Amino acid sequence: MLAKCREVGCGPVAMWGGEERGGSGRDGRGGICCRIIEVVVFADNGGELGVEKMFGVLKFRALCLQRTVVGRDLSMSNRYRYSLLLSGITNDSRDPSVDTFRSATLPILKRFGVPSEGLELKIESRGAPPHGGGEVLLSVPIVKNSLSAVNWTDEGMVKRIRGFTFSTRVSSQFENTMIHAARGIFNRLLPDVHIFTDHKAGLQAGKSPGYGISLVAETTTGCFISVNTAVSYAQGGEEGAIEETDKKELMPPEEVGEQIASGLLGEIEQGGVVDSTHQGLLFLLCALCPPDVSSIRVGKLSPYGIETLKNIIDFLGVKFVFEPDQSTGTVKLTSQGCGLQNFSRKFS
Amino acid sequence: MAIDSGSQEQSHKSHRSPHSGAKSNKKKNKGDDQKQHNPKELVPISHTGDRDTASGLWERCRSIALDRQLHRGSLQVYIFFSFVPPKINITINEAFAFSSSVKAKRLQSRASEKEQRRLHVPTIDRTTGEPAPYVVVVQGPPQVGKSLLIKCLVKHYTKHNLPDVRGPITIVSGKQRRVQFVECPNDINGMIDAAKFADLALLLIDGSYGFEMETFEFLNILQKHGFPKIMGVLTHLDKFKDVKKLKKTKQRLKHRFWTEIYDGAKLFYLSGLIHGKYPKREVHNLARFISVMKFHPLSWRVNHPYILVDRFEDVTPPERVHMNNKCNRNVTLYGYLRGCNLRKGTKVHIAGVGDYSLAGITSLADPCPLPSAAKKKGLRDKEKLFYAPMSGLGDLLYDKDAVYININDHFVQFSKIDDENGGVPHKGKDSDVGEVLVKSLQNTKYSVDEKLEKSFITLFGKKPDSLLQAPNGQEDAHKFINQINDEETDDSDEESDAEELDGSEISDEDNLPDDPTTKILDSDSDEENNDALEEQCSSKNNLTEHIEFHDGRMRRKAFFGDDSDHDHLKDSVEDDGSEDDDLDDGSSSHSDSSEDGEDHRIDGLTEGEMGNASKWKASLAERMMRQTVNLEQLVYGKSGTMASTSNEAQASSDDEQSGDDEFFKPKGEGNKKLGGVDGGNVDIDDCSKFTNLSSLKNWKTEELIESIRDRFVTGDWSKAARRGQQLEATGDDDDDAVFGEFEDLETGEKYDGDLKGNNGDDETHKDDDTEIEERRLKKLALRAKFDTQYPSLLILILDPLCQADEGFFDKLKEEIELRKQINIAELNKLDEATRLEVEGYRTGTYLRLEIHDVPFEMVEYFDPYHPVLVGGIGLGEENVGYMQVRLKRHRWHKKVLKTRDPIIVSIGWRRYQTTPVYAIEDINGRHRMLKYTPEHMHCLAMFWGPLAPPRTGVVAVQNLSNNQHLGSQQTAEVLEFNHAARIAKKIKLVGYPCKIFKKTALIKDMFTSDLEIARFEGAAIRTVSGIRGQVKKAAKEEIGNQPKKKGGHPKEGIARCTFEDRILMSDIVFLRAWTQVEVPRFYNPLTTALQPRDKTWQGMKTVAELRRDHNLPVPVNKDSLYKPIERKTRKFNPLVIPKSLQAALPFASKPKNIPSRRRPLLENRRAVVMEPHERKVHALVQHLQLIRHEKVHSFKRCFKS
Repeated sequence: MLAKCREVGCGPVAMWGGEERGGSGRDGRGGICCRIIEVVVFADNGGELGVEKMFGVLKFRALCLQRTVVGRDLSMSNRYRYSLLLSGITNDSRDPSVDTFRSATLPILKRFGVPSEGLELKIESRGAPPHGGGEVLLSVPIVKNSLSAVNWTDEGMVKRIRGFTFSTRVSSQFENTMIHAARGIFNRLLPDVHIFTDHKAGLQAGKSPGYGISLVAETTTGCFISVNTAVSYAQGGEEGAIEETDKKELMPPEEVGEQIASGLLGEIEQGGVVDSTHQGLLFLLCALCPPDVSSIRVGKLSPYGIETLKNIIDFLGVKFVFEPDQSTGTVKLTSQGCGLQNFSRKFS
Repeated sequence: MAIDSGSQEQSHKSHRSPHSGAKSNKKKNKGDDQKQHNPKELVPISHTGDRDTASGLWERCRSIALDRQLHRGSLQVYIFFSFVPPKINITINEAFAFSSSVKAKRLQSRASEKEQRRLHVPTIDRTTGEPAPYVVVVQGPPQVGKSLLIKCLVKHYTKHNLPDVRGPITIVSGKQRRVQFVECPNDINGMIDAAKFADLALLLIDGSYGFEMETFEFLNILQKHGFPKIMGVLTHLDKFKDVKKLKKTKQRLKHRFWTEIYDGAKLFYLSGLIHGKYPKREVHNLARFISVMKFHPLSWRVNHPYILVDRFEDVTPPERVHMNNKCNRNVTLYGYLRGCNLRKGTKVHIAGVGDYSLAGITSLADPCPLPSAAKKKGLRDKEKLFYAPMSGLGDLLYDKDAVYININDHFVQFSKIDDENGGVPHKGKDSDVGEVLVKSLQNTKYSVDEKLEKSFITLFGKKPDSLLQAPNGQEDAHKFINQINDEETDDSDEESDAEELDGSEISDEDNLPDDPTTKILDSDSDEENNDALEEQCSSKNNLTEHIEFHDGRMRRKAFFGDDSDHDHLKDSVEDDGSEDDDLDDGSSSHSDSSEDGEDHRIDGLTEGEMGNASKWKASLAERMMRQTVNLEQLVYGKSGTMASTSNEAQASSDDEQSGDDEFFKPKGEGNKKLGGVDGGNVDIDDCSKFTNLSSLKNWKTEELIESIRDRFVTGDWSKAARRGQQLEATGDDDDDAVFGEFEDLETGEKYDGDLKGNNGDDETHKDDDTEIEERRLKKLALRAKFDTQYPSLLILILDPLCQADEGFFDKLKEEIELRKQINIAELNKLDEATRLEVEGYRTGTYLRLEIHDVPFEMVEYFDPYHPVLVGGIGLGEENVGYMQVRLKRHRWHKKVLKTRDPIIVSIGWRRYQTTPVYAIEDINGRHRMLKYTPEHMHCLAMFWGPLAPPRTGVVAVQNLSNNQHLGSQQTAEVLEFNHAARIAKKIKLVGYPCKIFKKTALIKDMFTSDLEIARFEGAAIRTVSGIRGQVKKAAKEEIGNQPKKKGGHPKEGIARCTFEDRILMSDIVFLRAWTQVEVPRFYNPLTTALQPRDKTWQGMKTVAELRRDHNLPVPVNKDSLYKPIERKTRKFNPLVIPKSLQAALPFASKPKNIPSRRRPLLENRRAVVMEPHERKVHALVQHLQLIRHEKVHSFKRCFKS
């Protein structure tokens, strides 16, 4: 998403701390960053990428994004979409998982006028940290002209809760336990709760054992509020340490279920039309709209959301107006889109 | 639409009408002109057939209408049109009856055609408020009467005589409309720029001469830059003496004009001159045409902000110019904002100069405002404003922080130029004080800073007391200046003149008011520098002047108020700009007309300074309130909230504020935010997920669950609904409210209370105002919403068929209208400063753009006859890349264009020179390079340059020289910008066999290295004789590719190839392939504004031009020349059959050796004597055969030919 933000601004960009960050903080984080940019550069036409490892600086100059098909081409109508086969970790506790992406992120995109046909994420196999091994096929349609502005300030009432659990290389009983624990909390509020299991085995299970759950609450106004988590050995500390201790205690599935259910209720309590994870995306989409006014409501601003807002004003020149509402603890944001149009398509 | 559908519906009823006839029909039509609008709404009612239901519907409509009337003030007209009772309807039906089915059919088809023509892709019109004046470009060949037409039109509108048409002239032409007249300069650059900002182009054509190329050129340019409205004007029609001839010429020209634009395009005739002017009546008519013209949005222009500069100033600090005359200048450009909103941070392109970022934008009061919306007919004379600063009209100019009074050149006779050529026209005694001052001003060469420095040196020199005395009194200060002048008078005789004047002035000096001193100091120095000196001279007078020279014309900048105020003003201006507004609102009871923003502000300040302590405190408190941290500041930091006047340096206030900021931070969360957000903490994860799972509440407890019970559908719906309402209600008016809790470390609660109290005092009436305003706006938005929804609603109720017919289109339009209203409503909620941040400057505002570091040539060669266009650059359009356009040679261009010959293209706002490579798309999608453009076809052209979005029109010109660009334009359209779709050209590699095995051969000379061969492995090759083959691999040593003397390396570039048959040593082997063509990365922006306008811009030359210049011949490749083909007859050796083979052959095939005879055989020797009968028979047979042969021959001949 970071890369995307920079992409559209179309100015040369230098990013600092790519490698260093990877070294000091989480291992491989900088690597992932580079991978993302590699994808963008691959898809980008005429862009330039230069990495200066010594200073941890990454320079990137984007030009225009072209339609490309990466990986296998499944559909006949690939002319109108953009498909990528991505591999790596699909579920971990730090990032939004693929389930969340599928059930909460894609509806947000649809809301902004991304055509729904061709917009899909297919999970080929799952991979838990540390070794990953998951594979997803993401296909995104080409947005014809531009996105459309939204007026999305009513979060509505939660009408149903859906969820997915997964387990790779562990017993499928873990999933049932998680579901049971989560339902125990929701049952006092809402009867319409369905959580599906997805037990993967063999090749589809990736390279590391793990299990996790993601939940989505759908409201009467079409908002999707999601949380997710996953448990695996790589969760805390560094990789080397794990191998030494080896059998470090993992969080039991019951606790995971309860924790995640509480997390979802917390997000719901916070208010806003999206959860805190998707704030950045929401702001970005608002900023990319044609010069119409979008108004949205979010709960407490997340650090990532704030960072995105700063990036947006730097690259797109779009400023948001904040209208905090003390009674509900939410913020209404209003902005006028930057009027980005799809210039990369061919006119004939 | 209304009429069409109506007639369509009614056509089949025509037979029913009792008195239908062409004549009666016509009459009624005429009579019912007003009612023609009705059928759309009415027909459906009659269609229902059932009267009762119809009237029932009518009742419903009326009730709806009455409901609406509550919302609307003046609805009567609308209702009248929409809801006419069915009774009238019948008469209309009869009126529309047709007599013949043919006619009905024709009308029907016409109606449907019109219906189709109506269908445009609806575009959202995002402009709000008053539109900027429409630009009317008057274009035509020289001596056709362009300026005269403008003069006449100006005279018609304003009753003023314009001496000279320079630059844009803005005129209030009606109650709702302003018009800006621009004369199009007569060179291709000027025409291209004019085509980009024209809303209406008046093409002047010399009727007595006919069309000239300029007209067609301009049309051609217009077509590619959006095609604005066009109107032709024929002049010089009094040259015709013969009426018939005149009529015929008019007809001819009209039809030629129509073929160029469209049938029915308006061509206006101006019949000759009366007293050197066009006839009043005709000018009046033309003005009417202009004032009712409708303008369609043009796609490029609605997406880009642009400004047609109608005022231009050089604001470089004078001492910098004194130091170096050729230093980069700071300029300000003034003009109405058009197109779309201009956001801060947008880069602009100044046509003919280059790309610049804006150093400052200020919106100024409209110099030529529309009359107030009072209800009356026509314009009063007072409201017939006009504004043309470049033409030297309009006496007052309001700038951001000053007011200029123009004094006509006639009244100013003491400019420097006069001095130089006129010697001493006026002697010292009668000269005015002002003149003297100006004189001294002109003669100073150093700024106050330097003077001060210099005087420091002289302190210990011959005049030690000059500086010491300076601070004591104004008079001394003045003397001191004079003295410096004295020191500097060393170069010319004019100086002595000035000195003399100075001397004469000193005598008067004693009883002068104080401000002359300030005049001098003020004008000569930078504003910051003079503050120090100004402070010393306290003045009594209320008016100061700031005199500066511009365009050889004197201008006096007027400062109102006393000096100390002035200082104060300076300070306050440097403060937060938004604060000023507040001060105005709070303390001044002045009328809030924004026109005199200048003294308005000062008034506010003076009042503030009067010592009214409470007010002073109030303003301070207000300021403090502004400084409290809100969410916006948390996110965007300090700079985000700063100043609407963005260029003002704000160091001091920033410092103050940063001190305060420490105290106002939200608890917990805010700290966290700042920590995470600031640059210091790079090591945190860059992750969108932010759920702190450890700090979760225990959701099993009953009260917690109850607290969010209402967020679920199982909860209380009414409570949830109330929550939403509450959101709406509170969300609106607490913009400034602080989010979250804040702890104040020092004063704590007390400050909080204080703030509230002030808030209450100050803002009660303001609050009321805003509330009322908000309510009004909301109502407006609602009404607009209703308006847009309503017609369709009606249709929906009345006739589902109709809805199905045009549902999609209308729905689309409706959505767009709704969108627009929502936008307006949302934006109007915001206060002015925030709105500016969010949406930028609105179209139609008069802007002052400050641009730094432009080359001095722009100022030096500035020519008011050439309008300056400033266009905003969209997202990503400043990037440079390859662009692909579809191009067609203009049919009047004599030659084809050559690949890589530089051409000048005009895309978007820009004009630049670039080197295109032409190509054509083959069937398989390959782009094959073309050396020359096709004669009559489109082709692709790829070139390097600043990117423009697809579908942008392009005009290409080969050279700019004034006489020859006529037929040299090409037109094109951007297709895409693409780096992957490369242009390829055919390449033929030629090789010769060096060794031949059976079907394998080693080919030399085709490749230069083994690496190259590796690239071409498997490539198909063929010999001249048609034997096909394939490249295998580089030849290895063991199969013949041996070094000459065993020591060396094997020769590189020999390929082993296989063929379908054995080839000969004499064969030539070809490999046909495609190679990519590099498009040169060259583009050169046209800097026509940086040179004298009459000079032709010279860019890169074409190869042909270079050859011509250097007298070089065209290089000729000898092999490419055509020569007569000489084929040697091939000599074959006699066939030799080996003896062994001969022996094995059968007898028939054996070569036979027959020995030659000395005497011929008897059969050959004997004579035959025939009988007479036999002879006759023989002769006859011979004759017959001859005839037969002849027949065959002739037949063959016939057949051949």
